[in-house]
Parts: sequence; C-alpha cells; structure tokens
Amino acid sequence: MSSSRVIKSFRQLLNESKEQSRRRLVIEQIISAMSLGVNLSPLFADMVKAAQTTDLVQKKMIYLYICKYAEENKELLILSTGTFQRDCQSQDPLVRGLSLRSMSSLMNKELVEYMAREIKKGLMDRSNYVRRIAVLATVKLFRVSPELVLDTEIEKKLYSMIAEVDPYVSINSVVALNEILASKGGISITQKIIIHLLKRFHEFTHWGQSIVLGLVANYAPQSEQECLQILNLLDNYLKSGNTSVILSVSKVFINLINDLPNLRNQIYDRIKNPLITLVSCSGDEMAYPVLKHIYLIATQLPNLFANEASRFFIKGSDPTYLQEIKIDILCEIVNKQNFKQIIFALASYVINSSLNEHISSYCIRAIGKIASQLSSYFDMVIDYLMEFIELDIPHIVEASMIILKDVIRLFPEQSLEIVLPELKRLSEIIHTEEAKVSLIWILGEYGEKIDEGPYILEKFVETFSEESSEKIKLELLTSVLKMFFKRPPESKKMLGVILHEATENSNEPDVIDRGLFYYRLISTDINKTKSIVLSEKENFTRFTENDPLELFEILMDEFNTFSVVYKKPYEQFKRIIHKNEEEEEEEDDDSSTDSSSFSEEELLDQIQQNVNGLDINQQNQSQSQNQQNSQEEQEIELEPKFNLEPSEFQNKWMNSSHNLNFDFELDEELDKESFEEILKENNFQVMASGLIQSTIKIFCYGKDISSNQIGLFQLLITGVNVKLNAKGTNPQFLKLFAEYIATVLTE
Amino acid sequence: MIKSLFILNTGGDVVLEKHWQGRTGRNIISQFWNEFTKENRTKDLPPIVRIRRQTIVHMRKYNLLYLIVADQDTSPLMFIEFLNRVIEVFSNFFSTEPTETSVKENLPKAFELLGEMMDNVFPVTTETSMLKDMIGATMKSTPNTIENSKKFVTLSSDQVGGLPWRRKNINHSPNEIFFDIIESINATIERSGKCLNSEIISKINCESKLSGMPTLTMVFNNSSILEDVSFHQCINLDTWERRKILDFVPPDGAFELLSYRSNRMQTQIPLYTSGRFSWSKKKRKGKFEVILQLRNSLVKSIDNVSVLIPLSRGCSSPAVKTSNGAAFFNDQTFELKWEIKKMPKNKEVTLKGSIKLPNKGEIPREKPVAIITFSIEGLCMSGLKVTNLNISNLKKKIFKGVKFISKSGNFTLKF
Repeated sequence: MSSSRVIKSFRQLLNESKEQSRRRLVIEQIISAMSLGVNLSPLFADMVKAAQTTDLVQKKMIYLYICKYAEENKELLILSTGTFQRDCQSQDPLVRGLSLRSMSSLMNKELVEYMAREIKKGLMDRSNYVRRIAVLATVKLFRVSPELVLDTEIEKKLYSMIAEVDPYVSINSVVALNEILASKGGISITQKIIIHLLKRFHEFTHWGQSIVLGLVANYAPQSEQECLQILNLLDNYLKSGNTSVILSVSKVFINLINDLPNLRNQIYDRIKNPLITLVSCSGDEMAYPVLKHIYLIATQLPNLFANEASRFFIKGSDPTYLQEIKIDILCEIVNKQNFKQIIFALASYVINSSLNEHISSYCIRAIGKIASQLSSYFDMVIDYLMEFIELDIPHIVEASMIILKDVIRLFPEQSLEIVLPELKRLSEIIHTEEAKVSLIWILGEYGEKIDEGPYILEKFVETFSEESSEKIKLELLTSVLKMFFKRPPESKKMLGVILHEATENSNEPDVIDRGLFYYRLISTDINKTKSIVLSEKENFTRFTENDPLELFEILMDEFNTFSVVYKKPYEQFKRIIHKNEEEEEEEDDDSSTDSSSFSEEELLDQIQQNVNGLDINQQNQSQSQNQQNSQEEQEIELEPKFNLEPSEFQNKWMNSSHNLNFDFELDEELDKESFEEILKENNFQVMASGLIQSTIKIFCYGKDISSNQIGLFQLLITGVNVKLNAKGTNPQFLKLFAEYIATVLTE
Repeated sequence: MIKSLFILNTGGDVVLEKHWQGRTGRNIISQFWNEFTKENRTKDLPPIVRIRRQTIVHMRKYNLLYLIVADQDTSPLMFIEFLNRVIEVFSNFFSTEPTETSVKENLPKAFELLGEMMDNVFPVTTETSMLKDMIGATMKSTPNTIENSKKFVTLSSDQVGGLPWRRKNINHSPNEIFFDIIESINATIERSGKCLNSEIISKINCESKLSGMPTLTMVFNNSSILEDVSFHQCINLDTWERRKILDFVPPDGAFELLSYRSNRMQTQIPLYTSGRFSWSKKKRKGKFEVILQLRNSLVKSIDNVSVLIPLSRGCSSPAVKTSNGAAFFNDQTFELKWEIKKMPKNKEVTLKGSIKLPNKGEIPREKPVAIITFSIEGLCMSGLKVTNLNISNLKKKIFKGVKFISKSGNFTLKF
C-alpha cells in the first residue's frame, strides 16, 4: 500500500517531539506499524538521526527498525555507521552489545570493514555479555565475507575462547566455529575439546548442552573405557527437564552402541523410560516427534516396548496425527504375549464412533499388517474382519474388503472358505474404487469356487460402459478372462460383451490395449492363453510395499533430526536452493510488505490514539478509501469453463508477446494422468499431452477471472524436474501464473 | 536452525514476525494457513510440516498460533521446546497470558526478548530470571532517569561465578519459598468400579523469593517414587544419583522444579466410581446410572466434583435424578454435566437418568463415557512426602511451605 500519509505524520511526530517520553511513544508506534506490515522504509534517514539518543529503550527499537530496512536503504546506511561506532565505545555493555549485534545483522558488504574491526574489538571486550555477542557476530560476518574469518586470527581466537570461564562465550564459540567450518565438516572435534566441554557440562544452559551433545554424537571415543565414561556421565541427563537434551543424550547413546555392542540392550533399556515419560507428560506437539522416534527404535528392537503397549493406546482426545503414529507403533511392537491386547484395542477403535473414519480404516489396515507378521494368530484376525464386514457401515466394510484381499493372498487355504460366501452381499454395498478392485480380483482368482461367482462378475460387466474408473475396468477385464477359463459356459457371453465394450466403446488407451491384447491372444491360441492366464502363483510372505529395512538403518543414523519425523533420509528432502527459487524468495519479500490487513485510516486513528493527544495533521480523508482492495490483485483464480479451440491456442502460442521460462522441482514423481488431474482440478485446461521417452509433455492454458489475462503453458517433466515455458501478453501475470502452477503441482 | 518466528491470530493475520537469519516472506505463511484451515484440520495438522521445502513447526496457545520456519538439519524437539519457552517468557514478562492484545501492547518488549532469547540461529538465554537481568533495566527506566544519571548499568552476568539460571545480587524481603506438589491421576475405570489402568503424572512447582545464592536440600520419605523423573537444570544430578537428595540453588521466581510419572499408588484412588449404561433398541431409549463415593480415610471431603457425559447427537434432554448436587444438559453440545459442590463422607452419591433417541437413525454402537473431574488439597496419591527442607547460605528468616494437591487428569468411567 502507499503509506505516504502515515510516513508524513510519523516524520512530523519525530520532528515535533522533543520530550524523551513522547519520542519513546512515537517510536513504539513506528515499530507497531512496521510489524503490521506497513512499509516505513522512507523514514530511514529520520530514524538514523533519532538513533543518537541516550535512551536505551528507544535505541533498541531504532536498531530494530534499521536492521529491517537496511536492505532498501543501502545508500543511506553509511550515515548510521557513526552511531554504531560511537555505541560500540559506550560505557554500558548493553549498548555495546546491542550495537554490535545490530551492525552484524545488516549483512551489508559496504560495511564489512567497520564490522570486522568492531567484532575483533568485541572479542576482547571486558564484558562477558559483549563477548558472547561478538562471537556470534563472527558467523554473520562470515556469511557476508568468508575470507575475513576463515583461516584468520578470528578463527584461532574462537578456538581459544572455548576455554573461557563464561559458559555462554564458550558455547557460542563452539556454535560459531561449527558454522564457519561447515564446509570442512564443522569444528574439529578433538578429545581435548570433548573432555573440556563434558567436564563443565552442568554449567551450560539446556541449549548449550544440546549443542555439546551434538558434538559428542559425532565424536569417536578412543577406547572402550572412554565410551563408558561418557555413558556414565551423561546417564543422569536422561532426567533433564528439557526434551531436546533427552533426545540428544539418546542419540549419543545409540551411537555408542557401535562401540559397545554387548551393552546394546542395556543402553536401549536406559532410554526407554525417559522417552515414554516424555510422551505422557508433555503436550501433543512434543509427543509427536517423540513418538516418531519411539516408532523408529521399535522397528529396530520390537521387544523393547512390547510390555508397554497400553502406553500407545489412543485416546479420543488425541489429534489424528498422534493416533496414527500410535497405531504404527502398536503394529511394530506386537508379539505373541501382547497380541490379543493389541488386536482387541485396534478392533475397538474400528467400531468406536467417536473416532473418525480415517482412523477406523487405518486400524483395519494395521490389523491386516499384524496378520501378515504373526501368521499363527491369523484366525483371530479373520474373525474380526468378518465381524467388521457384517456391520453395514460403508467405510468399515470397504476398508476390510481391501485387507481381506491381502489376507487371502497370504493365507488362501484358511481364509477362502470363510470369505467367499460373503462376496455376493459385499458386491452390493461397496462403492469405492479400491474396495471394488479388491473384490473383483478375489472373484477372478477364486470366484469359480462359489456358484454365483460368474454372475456377480456379470453384474459388474453390465455397468462396464458407465464405469469411470480405469483401474476397475482393467481389473474386470482380467478377472472375466480368468473366470472364462474356469467356468466357460457361464462366462462366454460376458467375455464377449466386455471385450467388445473395451475395444470399441472405451476412451482409455490402456483399457483398449488390454482388451485387444486379450482378444488377439485368445484368437491365436486359446490353450496357451489359458496356461498363461491361470499360471501358478508363487507363495509369498511379505509385501514389498512395506518399508524397506535399510531405510530404518539410515534413519537411525539420523536420530534426533527431522528425517525421523518425515520418515525420509535427509538426502531426500534437503533444501537445495536453485537460482529460480532465490528469485522467488525475493519476490516473496516484496509482497510481504504489501500483504498487511488493515486500512490506512484505522492505522492513522490508532497512532493518534496511542500517541495520546499528539496532533496529527488530518487531511484528505477521501484518499484512503480504496487502499484495501489493492492487495487482493496478487491472487490468481482461474475461470472454470474457459475454452480455447486448438487453432486459437496455436495462434496465441505463436504470437504471444511475452515468454517466460521457469524451472522448479517436485516433491515426488507423478505420472502423466496425475498431472492432468491436478491441472484440471485447478481449472487449467489441457490442450495436449504426451510422453516422449521418459519426459512428459503437457500443453495447457488458463484464464484469470479478475484480470481476464490468458496464460499458455508448456510443461516438460522429467522425474521431479519441471521446465515450464509460459506465454502471454503481460509479463507480470506470467510470473504469477508460473508461480501458481508451481505451487499447484508441488502441493 | 531457526530462521524466523511468526505469531498469527485466529484469522491468520500476522501479529508479530521476527527474523534471525535473512528474511522469510509471508507467502509461505499464507500457504501454511491454507493447509491449516483446510478441511477442518486445525486440530489434526501435525505440528511439524514441510511447505515449500522448508519446515514449519507450529503450536497453538491462548488463541495465538506460533510458527517457526526452520532448516531441517537439527533436532525437532529443540524447536518445540523453544516455542514453549517463548510462550512462558512472554507470560512472565507481560504479567498476563500472551494473547493478541497483550502481544500487540508489548510489541517492543517482545522484540527485545526474542532478540536476547536467540542470537544467530540457536537459542541462547531463555530463563526468565536471566532475561530480567538484560531487559529488566530498560523496562523499568523512564527516559528521563537514564538521561540524568551517569551511572553505568552493570550486568550481573558479567560477574564470574553466576549460574546459568540465577543471577547474582538478588534481594528479597521477606525471604520465602513455596512448593506445590501437584499429582494428576489418569485412569480408566470399568462399570463395576474396577480400575483398568492408572498412572500418576506429577510436578513440583516452586515459587522462590530468596536473596543471594541460597543452597537448598530437599529429602523425601520415599525417593523411589521418583523413578521416571525429569529435573530442572538447577538440580545437582550427582547428589541425586548418590544420595537421593535434591540439592539445588533455585532460579528466582516461579519455575517447575521437577516432574515425575508413577504407576504405583500408595493410597486408593480417592474417589470410588461405578455406573451403568444400556440402550434399549425397542424403546429407542438409553438408561444410565453413575455412583461416586469418597473412600479415602485421609480425606474428609472433596469440593467441586463434576461428571461430564457426552451423549449422542440429536437425543432429547435427559430425565435425571440426583441424590446430591445438580445436573445440567447442554443442548448445543449434547453434554450432561453433574456438579457436586460438596461430597459427603461415607455416603454414596448417585445420578440416575434416561435419554430418548430421535425416532429415526441408528442406535449408537458405542456407549458413552463419563469424564470425572476433582481436586483434593492436602492429599498425595503417590505417597511422596518431604521429610526435610533445608536452606543454607542465607542467614535470614525464611518462610517456607509445601502444599499437596491431588487431582484428576484424564479420569474416565467406561460404562
């Protein structure tokens, strides 16, 4: 928004107010307005002038302001150096610290010379407080000009400062070195440093302790005796009041197991109770990452938590994310002793109407997973599943159907007899795609064993032409063919119907292909077809879609990081900043100053009120009316039914005045269909699409409702890399469009 | 590493933003907000999510939403712990819960605090009493006094020998220290009154107003209760390990000394609870009964016991009869609440009633539960007792006190 009136009145207030308490109020209002998102950058020169106050409260606020707008006022920044330098000489350590911290936050290349000089002085300051700040300021200096820090006396000085008496200075030096030397693998962890830090471990704050523990976790002790010493010293800290410390100690312990393999079980036993206590004693937010870690440990040592199953039973008041992870843990820790208890609990969640549908399906899936792990208790599982199926509650029946298919695949002999008689009734009540596919698969594989088998399939074939799901169509084709070879007289007719429908009246290329393939196969050699279609299946015991064991090993190495929460190794989600993205971020910043939600009028009123009787020049009331509307323009919203003829599209594509290329990366790979679906959902119209080798190519377009701008796009997608080429008449809008597509596709 | 903190109000507007490294644009916040408000997920969105390849950790408290934007290479616990500290420190410094209004009123102070709590990208000082040392001076000062006095501020943290949680030169008169031992019992009770599972989650809160650097020792009758325990940093862990004695120099002001979890109960659950609930399919009616009785010889009476029963949506207002207290039905939330102002000794109190279901619709498969709340002063369920509290290093008259409170945590009766 244009905030010229606000600026004007603030400037006037600053000039008029001579009394310090009044100035303080004015500056307070400036800070408030700034955090509302008003762009007060033009006040920079006035604020720098105001910084020469002796009032620390004002000074702190003014420095806050200067740091915020330094970027936009590079040429004026030099004005402030005088004030910064003077303040670095102040008698008051708070002022020296403040000045040093603010100056180093400016990230300005012009000022590095001053900065470096003051930081070096700060490292020698007589006040601990100032030295703490100076140490961290070296990192900020390093970010602007690495050459002023790396391999210089500053680096050497920092190493020596680890030995300082003040615990903050010591820890800050560790942090600073770790970051400055990140490219060389962080601070060099010697036995001397580790011993020094561990000796004074109790002096550090929790945060300091977490940082030290991070170093210890990467340290390789030189003897078994040293391992044990570390273990004993840190053992007490499993009782820390800070969860971050407890998890960091756990990580150190887990790493030490490699050196002390015979203590493996004892070590895990030590960390078990503190982790459980954390779950029950802390809020939901804290419990979530802790449970994720317990889950990870449980994948390694299922028996460790086996006696604690009841701790992971879910409560109605738990948010869904806690319920899910608790169920995951129950699946991992199940064994012969607690099996009944866990299955009983899961089954009661399924029918508990106070839990949501998602959780009840999730529990059914968990029950199926447990069945595959503990085959000897299979009877009990199938009993529960059959009970669920009789409930007449659609989502429960459908979820059970899907699991039944897996159970049959694993234990055909034991389960078929019980499940087959239910199929007819089930075929009438299930509706979701996945449940139907499961049912049709069972029918194709085993349907011949019941009299009505072919007729249930026939019912599905009757509605084949209306079926919108490609998956169901494909499954049905295969199942009908299988049935044909097992019960030819009853199935011959429906095979004919379905092959005709698939090849003649379908839109989906895969359905047509498979129909034709079957048709040709049968026409070529009917006996061979039979032997291919009804070939023996190999028995299997583990579903490959279960998580690979190697994943958990990698995650154990990344214990106490976000990898555990996301269940992905760091490599897979770390943030690589691309050139485009940086530009994108800068755009973010620009818009941030404009995205505030207030009117200028209100703000002026408020300032006036707060500055308590100070006069504000009231003028041009009418000017301020249309401020609020301007911020909405940034949003793109596409017209749902907008349509271009291919020739129009081609014409516009060839003749557009502006062209924009934009590359971005997706979180995961998607197939062509999913892309088209996502685009359509967001009202983009797909003109054409195709697959060239492994690259997906899509042409699409869209029209923004409020601006009537049309954007045309070509997307080239290889794996997770997307190259976007956008064409249109307005470059600003193309940018917005491109960002919008990127957001839509990455979500 | 923590890059930025945003505080949003219930409408998703930014109340405060603080950047420690670079500047994070607000776009990522609006994207988070869309995710947060989507499909009523406000309660179910995990506290740690990835948006635009960055991590956002969020927490809700007093109608404000705290968001941390972070890089992913460090401990997730650190961020959540830091948010807890921010909320705690704000409460202490604003002398009120941090709400939208109080944050806006205290904006400069909030920025000052955040500036000291974290420098670069790691948390530094998050103890209230240490922050008072750095910020307290500027808070109290009026501009005129600063201008007039030529005296330099001396920082006690500059003096060698201070502790990370306690500054030097603290002066109080009178000198006093109070401990509240608060035990909450989580339990699931069967209809017959049998306890299915229970655990006690407890904490010791302390309010310290002592001068100088006093050393306290606290001895318990039965320290084995404190097995699953987490301690405040001030407690000397070695002494605890060796002698099972709490030895500490307390921070100044209010703080949590320790918290513990225990499965063993020294006393019976102070409140006996049983009840019935049955659905009649034919009559489309539900009949229920709840019985409570005080059964601890140590407790004379309990004030303000309440029983909350969430009933099926759409049911009619229940017909109820109580032996003591009064029951109210909220026809918006369909919850029946029975409140007993004073619970008599040696006598059962009962609630009986019935509800009618609407003529259409299914009979619920599940029976409701009853959630019971109570709080008893002077009782300690785990059996923990302080046998000795000694204060040395302070030669002054000291008022000290220990108070016990037993209360219900998640206390549920399953019909």
